[in-house]
Amino acid sequence: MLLEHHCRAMNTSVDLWVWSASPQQEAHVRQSLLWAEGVFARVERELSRFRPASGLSAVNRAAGSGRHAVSPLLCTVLGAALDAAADSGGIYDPTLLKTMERIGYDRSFETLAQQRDPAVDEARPTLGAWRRVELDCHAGLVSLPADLAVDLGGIAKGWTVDRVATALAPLGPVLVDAGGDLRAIGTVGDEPWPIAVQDPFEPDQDRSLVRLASGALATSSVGGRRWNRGTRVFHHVVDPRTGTSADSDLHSVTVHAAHAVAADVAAKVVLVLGSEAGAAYLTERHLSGLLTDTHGREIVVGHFAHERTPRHASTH
Amino acid sequence: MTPTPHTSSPNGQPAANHTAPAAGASQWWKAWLLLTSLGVTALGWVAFPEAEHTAASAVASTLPPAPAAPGSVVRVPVAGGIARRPTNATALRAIPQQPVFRTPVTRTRRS
Repeated sequence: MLLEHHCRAMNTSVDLWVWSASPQQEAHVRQSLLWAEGVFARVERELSRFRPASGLSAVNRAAGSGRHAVSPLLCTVLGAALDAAADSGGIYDPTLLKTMERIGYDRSFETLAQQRDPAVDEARPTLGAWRRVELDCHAGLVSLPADLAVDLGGIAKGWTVDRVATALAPLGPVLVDAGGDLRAIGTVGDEPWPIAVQDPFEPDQDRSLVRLASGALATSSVGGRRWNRGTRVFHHVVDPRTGTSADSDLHSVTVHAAHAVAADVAAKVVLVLGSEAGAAYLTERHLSGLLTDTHGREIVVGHFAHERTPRHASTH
Repeated sequence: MTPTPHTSSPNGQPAANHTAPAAGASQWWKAWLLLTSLGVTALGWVAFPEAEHTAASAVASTLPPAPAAPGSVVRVPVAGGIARRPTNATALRAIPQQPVFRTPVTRTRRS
């Protein structure tokens, strides 16, 4: 039987499925699903930038004051983020929080109304800022320069999805979905997990279907989190080369990778790079993706097998 | 080494081939379980190299402990203590007789 668990964490919905063919195991599987909810909550408490008591908030407050003790969890996820920054040539950068705040994303998006705040001053390129973070996970210490602050939102979600999926996998085939960061391990018999692909321009509609046998999917888009500052419209995907919201030819990117962390990072990077450089980025890393440009044209990179479905409203 | 019953044949050769079928199946089942466990462990190492290289055990200690399954373990005496191993992992691998999914389970969402 397919056992499900649904909850909220990290400002999004978290959905988990485990296939268990043994009724005797149902109680244990359900207990494990509750455990998984606890993991999401624990990671959020430690890594949310919106929680003043989180370890990450403490690190950001301590910026400029030397080395600061951090938890192993924070060290591990920040280390993964810095590795991703190095691999992407700094296009993905977890230290862009002050840039995001400067352009207006200074509170949880749920509370970020369509406000008319003052205009933003000129853009400030920050490419390579991540290199100034000093992280020593053996000693459990991190040092941030005074002008930097860290945001681990997306990568923390992907990391938790990977962690939970791996932990649940011994129970049976598993699918974990945290706000669109998806990870599957195992198929139900020979049935892959059917995943509808959201229409980038009409989020209540689905455009196609992916049958996910293994690995992870993540989507990044400039269409979701948008707000006004002065006369300009901003979104949450920042290009460190310009120091403001990315302005590529892409509207939405969905990436298939082995792990949710890799998919999450790659989707953001490709969205910033644009279709040509983004496709090359995916190809070099043997990843596949579905890119949608600002005119609605789709570009398939690698073996991103998806089936066109009749347009219909999502039932989710 | 102290010889133990049921491990040698009359001609002094190992008696593996003389094991009763039920016991043999049990041994194969154990070997399968051991290999599966090793595979899962190796997969974990591959999946989280940074975590393993840095402070994997410390990270685990900061997360809620995974629930145990009291009904699904047996206690096996081993040198230095008691080993716990699952007894019904094979049952979880049963293949469904009917298609499970008629509609998408979930959908991608932009972030």
